[in-house]
Amino acid sequence: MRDSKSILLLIVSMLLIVVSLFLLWTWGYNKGKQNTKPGTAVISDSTTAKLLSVDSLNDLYNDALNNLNSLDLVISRADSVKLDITFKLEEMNRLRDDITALLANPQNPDGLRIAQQKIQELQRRVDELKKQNIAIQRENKRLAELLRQLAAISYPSDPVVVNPDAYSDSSNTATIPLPQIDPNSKPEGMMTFSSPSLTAFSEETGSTETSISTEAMRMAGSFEIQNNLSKDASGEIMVVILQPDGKVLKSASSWDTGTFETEEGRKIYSYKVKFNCYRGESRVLNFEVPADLLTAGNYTMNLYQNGKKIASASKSLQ
Amino acid sequence: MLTRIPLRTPLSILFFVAFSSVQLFAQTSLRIKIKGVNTYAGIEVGSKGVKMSVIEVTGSGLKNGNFKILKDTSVNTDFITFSKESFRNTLLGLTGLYETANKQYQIPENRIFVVFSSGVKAVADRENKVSMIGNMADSFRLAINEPNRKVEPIDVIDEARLSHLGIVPSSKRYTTFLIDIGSGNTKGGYFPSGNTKDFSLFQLTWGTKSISNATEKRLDDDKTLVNFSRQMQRVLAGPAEEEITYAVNVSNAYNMSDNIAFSGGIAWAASTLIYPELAENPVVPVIYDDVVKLSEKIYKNYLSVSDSAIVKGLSDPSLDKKMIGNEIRKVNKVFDQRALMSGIGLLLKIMRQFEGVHEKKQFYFVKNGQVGWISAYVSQAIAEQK
Repeated sequence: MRDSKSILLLIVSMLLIVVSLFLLWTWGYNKGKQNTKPGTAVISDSTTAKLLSVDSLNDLYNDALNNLNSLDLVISRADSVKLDITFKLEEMNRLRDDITALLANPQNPDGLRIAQQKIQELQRRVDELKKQNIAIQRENKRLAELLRQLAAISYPSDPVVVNPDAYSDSSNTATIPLPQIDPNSKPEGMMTFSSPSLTAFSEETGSTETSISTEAMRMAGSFEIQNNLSKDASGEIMVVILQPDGKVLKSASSWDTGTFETEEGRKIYSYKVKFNCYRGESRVLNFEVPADLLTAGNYTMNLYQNGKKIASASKSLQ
Repeated sequence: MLTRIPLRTPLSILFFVAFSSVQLFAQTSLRIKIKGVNTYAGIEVGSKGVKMSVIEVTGSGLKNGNFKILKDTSVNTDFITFSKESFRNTLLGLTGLYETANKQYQIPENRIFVVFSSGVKAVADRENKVSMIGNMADSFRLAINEPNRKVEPIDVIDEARLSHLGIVPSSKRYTTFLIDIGSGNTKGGYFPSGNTKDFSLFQLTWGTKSISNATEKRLDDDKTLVNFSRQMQRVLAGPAEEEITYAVNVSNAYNMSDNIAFSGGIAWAASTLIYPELAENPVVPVIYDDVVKLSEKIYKNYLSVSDSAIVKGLSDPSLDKKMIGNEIRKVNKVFDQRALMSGIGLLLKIMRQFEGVHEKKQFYFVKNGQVGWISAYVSQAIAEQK
């Protein structure tokens, strides 16, 4: 029994020795094979080939750089992707600097090989960026078109064009200064505001007009809106009535009076008119500002929408 | 216990004037001309002191909430301590204000109304001091020599209901949720059923001072403003938010109201600082974001809410800058930086509940909330007299 164990150990040892010898041979063979490779470097040692290689690399490099320069436009116009592109460009600039440094030393074959790899990488990135450029330009075009369409229909964020004809047929005796009117714009596709008027009434409720300040108990006004948009619209018009002393007339019920932001800074409004107007509809909006004490003089009503003055009217009280 | 004060003598009136002049606090006392037959006075014995408001009914009358505050004064007496001294001071203040209304402003007896606030009644009930209210009423009747004068406490629902009726104009009555932020609690409500009998009461145990006190307790050794702000956010985000969210949801006010009106000292302070141009207006429409901006300014740049800084920024030459400056100074005298932070923090927390993504509510800050109930009480009392 003991002899059989010794024989087994002997056989295992022999097998291990054989395997070790085989591994040693394999290592030696591979080593020898690798040592024959420098022979292929004969070509790279050739000065001509080396220069040709450098020249072709330079050509590739210059091509990539030219493509890169053409992408400046993308950088300057792309807003939301600007950061991303700037980052990519910085990476490419680093790559370019590396390549320039490597090509500056054509004697180093490893350097040329790395330069070639880097130029390929640079080219790939430039191509990628070019594709992005085309996509962005296409998207910009699409968005510009969309904006153009929205500009035609959007409300109420857009400036309102007041119908200039409205000022000639005002029933108000007072002079009405023209508000900001864009002569080139067309009322079609816009909200228009017209016929602003301001009146004083002698009764708290009722319709007896007056021009005498001591009789007046409330100021009332009206204006017409026309929805030429392709959709229903709603919004707010701020009414500012300036008293003869330049102060804003505040409603007796101060729940109606507040402040709003305009292009000229914060202003107090006398009344806020909220409205809904269906597509194609025209409607007259009325409002009233009850006042405790009205003094004699000229009252000016200014209408504002989105902080912009859109119409005016005035009324004199004796 | 009846206390007799011989206030009808010139010396006692002189004493009262001297006593009250140092403690008078007028939240909105811009108009001081008192005249005409439509003038009424309401005197309220509150927890902290005695308040008197003199109002003039204007235009279409009380039913439309048309009234002017001619005078709004208060005397600090701390009645709810129910001590002998506070009793005497309260009686002195109450009688003195009554005499001022009657003699100085020439408002007849039947147009002067006296009540005890719901806060006084609540504390008296809790501390078994209800008899003190009776004693005060009797002593007052004796002092003014009007044994049949009605002097009664009003309960919290009545107070909130009357405030709503007095403050909110009839055109907005059934669409407005009124919230009065006090120093120790918040109360309010709305009319849910289109009539003035049904009133949905809203109550919170948090007020501006209680937020401030809870914050102070959390400060430990670090008393800096940074820590105050941090701890205040924790108070607001913790128990206060829980209660506010629950109370607002239960009230169903979000679904039932278009307008959310806030009254109380902090609403007056915030509206004066945000919209100084409207310092004279008793009610100011408010935008949520403007309150957020004010909150940031108070914390990060407190000097920017000083009277000089705000007045400097007013470009409209037609504005009365002196009057505006005085109002701002008054705000800064009543509320310091931390009190403003606490109050506006609570205000924003409640406002946030109504600042929906799809449906925006119109917010209002009411400056004369403390006298709002008087006009409604006057209206009710006149109806009863007829």
